[in-house]
Amino acid sequence: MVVDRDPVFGALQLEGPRGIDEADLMFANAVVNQLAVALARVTSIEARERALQDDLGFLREAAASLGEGLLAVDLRGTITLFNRAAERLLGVAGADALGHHISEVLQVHRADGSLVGNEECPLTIAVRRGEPVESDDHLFGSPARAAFPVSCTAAPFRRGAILAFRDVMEVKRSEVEQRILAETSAVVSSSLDDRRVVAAVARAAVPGFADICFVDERRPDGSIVRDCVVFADAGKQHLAEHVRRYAPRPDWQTPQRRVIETGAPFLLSAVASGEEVAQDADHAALLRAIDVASMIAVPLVARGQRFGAITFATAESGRRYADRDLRLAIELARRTATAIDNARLYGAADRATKARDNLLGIVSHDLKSPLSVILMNTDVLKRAGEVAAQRTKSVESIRRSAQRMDRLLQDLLDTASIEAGHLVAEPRRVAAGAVLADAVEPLVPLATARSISLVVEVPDDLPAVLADPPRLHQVITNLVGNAIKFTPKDGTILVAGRRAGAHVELSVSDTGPGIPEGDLPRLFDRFWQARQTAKLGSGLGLYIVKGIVDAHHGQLRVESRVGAGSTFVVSLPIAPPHGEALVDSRSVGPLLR
Amino acid sequence: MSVWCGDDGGEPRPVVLVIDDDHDSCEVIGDILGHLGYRAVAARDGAEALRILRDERLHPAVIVLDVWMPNLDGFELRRTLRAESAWSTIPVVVASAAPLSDHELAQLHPDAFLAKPFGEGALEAALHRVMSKRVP
Repeated sequence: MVVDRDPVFGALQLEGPRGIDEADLMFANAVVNQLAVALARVTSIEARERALQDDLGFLREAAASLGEGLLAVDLRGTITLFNRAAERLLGVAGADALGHHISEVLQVHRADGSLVGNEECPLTIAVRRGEPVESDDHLFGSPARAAFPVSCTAAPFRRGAILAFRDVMEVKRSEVEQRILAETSAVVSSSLDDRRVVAAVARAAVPGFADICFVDERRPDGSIVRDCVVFADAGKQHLAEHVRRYAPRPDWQTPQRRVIETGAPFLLSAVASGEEVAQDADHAALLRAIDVASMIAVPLVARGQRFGAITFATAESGRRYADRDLRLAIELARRTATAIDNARLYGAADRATKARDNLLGIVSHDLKSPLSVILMNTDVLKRAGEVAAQRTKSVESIRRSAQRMDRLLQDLLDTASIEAGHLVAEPRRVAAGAVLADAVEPLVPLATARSISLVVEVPDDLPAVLADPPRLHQVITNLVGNAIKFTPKDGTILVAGRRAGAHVELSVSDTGPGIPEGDLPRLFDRFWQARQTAKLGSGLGLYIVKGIVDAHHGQLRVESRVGAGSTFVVSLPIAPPHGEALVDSRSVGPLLR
Repeated sequence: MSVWCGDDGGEPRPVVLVIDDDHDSCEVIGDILGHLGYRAVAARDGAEALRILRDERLHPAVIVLDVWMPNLDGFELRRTLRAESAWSTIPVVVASAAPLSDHELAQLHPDAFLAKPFGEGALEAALHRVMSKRVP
């Protein structure tokens, strides 16, 4: 019987020609026991090996079905384990990975996208340190897949190392999206300057969401201007000027123009060559230089008005936009548009307040002077025994002051009309020379009183112009009145007319102090007055002149030099030879006076 | 130089220099001054006023000064007057249609201030005030 204590797992039968004595039995028993021990050992090893095989099979199955990518390498870097998740994440089949060097299958990048050398690879570090290494700062890529952010753990073991990793692209993207939205909200709620809002949103979106961002804005005249061009890659920022130049022109059907016109967002997941969105060869070359990979353009809409589009594009990151990105872009554009709208409303309210204050200042100042004259004259008239001549003089003075107040009111009404775009001229064929003479005549006494000579020079053959006679009269009256105001004693004012091509130029030149060059650009602004002439008048005269000339589709220009006087030139189109009869402006009369 | 009320051969009248670019203002102020027993001389801006003071050697008893004028405004003229010993003691009544800040008012050193519109009574009171303070 072969036993190893318990259990009994066999029996041994001994036979011999002679009988078996006690000594034989003892010997046999000893042999059997040895045999039993040996057999027992073999059986135990087999069982353990089976158990180990079971365990290994379980581990393989577990590794294979794990959601995380798992790969193992030996000390030479040869891949010895490559699970299904690793296949999926890296886009490499197990057969193409197992037995290959890790560097053929996995590329490790830093957060900024640069490639990590072998020494910095988490696997190498784990082996070197002899302890597990964790990282949330790396990107993994493979020959089949662009780099994506991972969370990974590398752990050493006796004959190599094992690497577990998972794709955290979605997590990172959510974080970035939340950060961009938070930054945008902060800007949106803190700034009332529309340019600042747009620039800050562009900066918030780059590089987290886009490699390039810019804004196209539709102006009131329908033109589109491009601004706030931001690149993630500072080395490309010099291309911003080129990008700006490709703001959609009227005859271009670019994605941005379509977005602005229709309000439908635009998503081009993969830009192939740039030809799809380019206007011409230069534009296509620019898109290639930027290396645009994917783009989104979304409308800027506030209170039902589409006033622009914001474009996000990717380049060096290689990221391809999808529907989810479009949703974020739409949300960014919505917040941006609301902020811009708020900023503009605030700006308009601010300007309106300032304009009102200006207006109040003008009304109070310009009405107070004539009111003062009226008040004092009534005091004079009240006095008993005043002579008839004094009475006539005072009444005349009162009348003039009332006319000045009336003129100011008319100027304010004209200004309001120009502001609202309601100032209408009804041009017809008119003899400009006659209007000139008619407008200048009532101003001669004023000029004479100030020892200023007022000269009119109009050739007899000056062609008729297309003009609204009362409005043209107003233009000349304002320009000559202005000249009288600023021309010193013994000066000269020349009012002239001449033909210049298809136009007639009417000019008013004075020998006044002239206008500093820096003041010229603002000369025709509403309420604007040169520092030296501040509060001398309403500041509306030249603004109204400009408004009337514009309504005639004419040109107004000024030539002036400090110390050498000023010349204002109104250019009006010559009337065609046929048409209605010439209107004699004298029969129309001045509009206001 | 415009004079509305010359000497009538009797007691010489104190002269008031009225500086205002508004012709009607000058005229009616001149009328009232004549009635109040002054002789008014008008200048349409600071430059003309200086010319009258310098070239015509006019030494007015009082100056009535508007603030905003072309060529030489009230501020500039006042600086010039204060810098010249012969003119620095002439009392100045500032008459302005535009509201003036404290800073602007301080620059003008007015002996009296009239805010337009004002009537005969206010002008008379202002003149009376500065004439009574005047060093004979």
